[in-house]
Amino acid sequence: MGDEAQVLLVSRRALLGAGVAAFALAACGTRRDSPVRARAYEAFFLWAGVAPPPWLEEASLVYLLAGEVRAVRASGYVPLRAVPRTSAPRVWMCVRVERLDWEEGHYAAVLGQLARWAAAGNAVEGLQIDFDAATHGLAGYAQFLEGLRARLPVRFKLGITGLMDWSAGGAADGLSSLADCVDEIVVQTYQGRATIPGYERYLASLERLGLPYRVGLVEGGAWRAPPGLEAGAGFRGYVVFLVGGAQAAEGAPQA
Amino acid sequence: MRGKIRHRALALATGTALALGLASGAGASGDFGCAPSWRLGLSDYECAGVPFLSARNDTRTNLSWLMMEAGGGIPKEAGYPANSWEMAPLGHVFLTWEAMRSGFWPSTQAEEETWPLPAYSGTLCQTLASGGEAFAAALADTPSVSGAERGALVGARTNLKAACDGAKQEPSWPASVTSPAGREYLAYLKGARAFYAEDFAAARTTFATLEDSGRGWVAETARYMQARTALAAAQVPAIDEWGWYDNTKTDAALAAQGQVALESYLRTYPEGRYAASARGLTRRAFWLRGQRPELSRAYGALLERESAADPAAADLIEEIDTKLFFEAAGNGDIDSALSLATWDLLRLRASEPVMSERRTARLDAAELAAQAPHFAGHPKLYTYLQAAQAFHVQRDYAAVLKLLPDDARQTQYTPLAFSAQMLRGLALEALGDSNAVGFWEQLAKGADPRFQRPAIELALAHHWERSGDLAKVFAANSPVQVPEIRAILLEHVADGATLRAQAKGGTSTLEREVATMTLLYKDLTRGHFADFGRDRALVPQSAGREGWIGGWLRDAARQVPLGSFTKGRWQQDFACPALADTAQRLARDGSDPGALLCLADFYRLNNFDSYMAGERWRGREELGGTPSRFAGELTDRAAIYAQVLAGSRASAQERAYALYRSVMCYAPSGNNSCSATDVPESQRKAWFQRLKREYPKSRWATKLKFYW
Repeated sequence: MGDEAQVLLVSRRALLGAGVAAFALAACGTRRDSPVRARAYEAFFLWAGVAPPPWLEEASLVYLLAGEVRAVRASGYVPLRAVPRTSAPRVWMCVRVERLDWEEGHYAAVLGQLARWAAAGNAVEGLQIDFDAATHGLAGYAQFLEGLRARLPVRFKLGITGLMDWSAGGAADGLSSLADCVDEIVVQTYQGRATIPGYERYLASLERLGLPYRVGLVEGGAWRAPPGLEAGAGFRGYVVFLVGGAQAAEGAPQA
Repeated sequence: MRGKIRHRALALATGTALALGLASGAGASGDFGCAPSWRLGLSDYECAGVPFLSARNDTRTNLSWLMMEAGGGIPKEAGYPANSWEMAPLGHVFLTWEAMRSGFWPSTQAEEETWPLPAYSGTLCQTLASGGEAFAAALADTPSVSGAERGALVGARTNLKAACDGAKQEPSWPASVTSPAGREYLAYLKGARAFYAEDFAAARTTFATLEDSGRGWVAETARYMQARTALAAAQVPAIDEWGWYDNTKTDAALAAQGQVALESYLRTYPEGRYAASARGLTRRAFWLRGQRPELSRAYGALLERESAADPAAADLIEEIDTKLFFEAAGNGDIDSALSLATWDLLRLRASEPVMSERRTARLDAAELAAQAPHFAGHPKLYTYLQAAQAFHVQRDYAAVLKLLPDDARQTQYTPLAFSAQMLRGLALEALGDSNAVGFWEQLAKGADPRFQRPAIELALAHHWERSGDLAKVFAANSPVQVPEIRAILLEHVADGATLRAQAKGGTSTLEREVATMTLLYKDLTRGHFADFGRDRALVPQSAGREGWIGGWLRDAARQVPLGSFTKGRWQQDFACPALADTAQRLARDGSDPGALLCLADFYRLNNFDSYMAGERWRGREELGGTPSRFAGELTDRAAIYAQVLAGSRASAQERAYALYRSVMCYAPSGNNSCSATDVPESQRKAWFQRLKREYPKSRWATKLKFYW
């Protein structure tokens, strides 16, 4: 493992406890699922390091990684992409976040960037936060999102990415605290070739909370929709994480 | 250079400052943390680098060693970075670029922690605030501008901020500014607004009319801004509608104009206010025009001239990485020695980071031979590269020894000298040369204790593990003292006697705790129950349960959950005595079904499962990768349940519980939590049915609703 697309898609809990890798391998089923062909979908996530495919203008919805707030070297908001100027698709401005103790300067930088994206003529749907709450805890995250929501102009939605780990250890309760301040969540339901254990419970929690969700898939990855998934009331469709030419053709690296 | 991802992001060039290298590399050190392979001769890229020039290292790490080589060795102030979640797995032996940056250039770290955050960082507008101050200061220095005009001009700068915030329409400007000098400042403001609004054509026209202004600040700034504007304009076609930056699509003519403007500025103002920035922009112009040889030479000169101890060195290294190495253009256009050496080391890699978009052909001997003229002033470096090529690509270890003679009797080593001796030692190891140990021991004496020596200790430990001399690692006068190295050997390969000795006599808390933890764990899992009864006394009263078994090297606090054996949970809903009693019962009778079930519950309730399943997964080439010397074979939970069910001694209650637990091993996901190997679903169904059929009234049959 070790690529950035999987950072979003692979359980970060793999860091904890030895031997987890063994389980990840054990979890790889033997079913033959078809690889995800990006063009069969309508919504995409574009990481900062992946070249946009020429057909992306035909998408209906694109999540663009715009920048990040890193923890390791106490830095401000770092843009990872120039301001886009798209015409057709609706776009989400995604910010990868490694810390929640934001100063006003962080808010100003991120919300200022969001305003610039809108001013440049993009159909900005909202701001999406990608944060590893599995490691850091959901409670502080909910508080952070409340603060962000309070500062976010009402014309923008607030979204988050969600890792299935949140369902572990009763964190499904923590989800309810998030549901109040976010408009949608993009969730990971599988890892490698296998659907993540417990995803049904997780999606059921989202359904109970009435929180709309999209399911993240990786371009070239193996995927077979579990029965009933697409029938969920909160299900808004898939988001395909683009990984770029070579990997898409070869199939994404597996966990 | 690591994964492509954040590097591509770095090439993003909306800003003017070369310090865009604020975001750093990607790769496995991202959210996963970075856990090293505990070995030295690796030819594949790894986020965890080594303290010598190597194909494995991040390009920024190799650049750092080369810069130190050119500038007087490892700075005295440098230290191994403070322990943290990110640094923990590196065990004081390996270095990620992040670790290196914070260990060698801590002051840049401190600088970044100063608030408030710079607004608009990474964009053209990051100079908005500093420009405003300079503008106000220049005005204050111009007596011919009246106070009222000055106020109006300073106030009009809000138009620039509006432009930075996306306003596109032409704003209104103060009509009250009428003095000749005031009007020049006003014209400058209009140019600056056009620049921030990315109306570069208007900006350049305006600045051009001001370069001969009688106001010194206006004239100088206007000349500098012409260059900045041209370079920013040159980037416009490189940015697509998604904000994606492709440096091959820049406007070369505009970049060339920018270059001319920079030369003109530096000629007119060699010591000017913007001279340092202009020199940085000269490199940017090379980059925008794809002039890689010129860029490489500019960096080569900086690498040799700038001090590695200077906090700006880290920024320079990141800049070189993103601007020179990220763009994998054709080989042959990097020709300055230090940059080329770094590029060559990258090309010795057997594999690149996952998802790297660069697949450069490996460097062959003929191509390296053809590079000889570029290394004319760096014969030792060139020899090292030849040896590294022989080591990593040809695997011709005898050639390595010929190229790098034994020089292990120095009192200190520069990074390059150390690299050469390390490679020699690794070649000796690869050849199975009997002198390898003596060589390492000799080399250890002069090695820098902060960075170099731990690598030698790893080499020695690795050797002794494989030569059957593990005792030498733990001998009283052992040169191997890094606690993490000793702990790895104890955890993975040591026998019971060694563990018992180091539990008491270990040289660090980590070592003593890992020895005790491993001893007790293996006593139980290998069926040495009587030993467990005695060894349990090694657990201190104060031992806690925090931490994960086997997880101490990922944990900055190095917590070892030793207290599991004395204060751990021993029962849940199946009645069991305390662990010590269970072990005692098993010491008397190793197949006592009730005691076995209680032992299994202890494993389950104290999170031993995943560790037990992963125990055999260590890489063979890694430290601790040889077979364990501890007597006996692991018995996991699945084996315990099978044993209870296979025998005839278990009570109905015990049998029902063993069936229940066997099925529950696969709950709720179908993954087996009791063993590294699965049984087929038909077997799980058979357990379930047997429980329902033979023990229908038992609480376990009532409790179990599904199988997985």
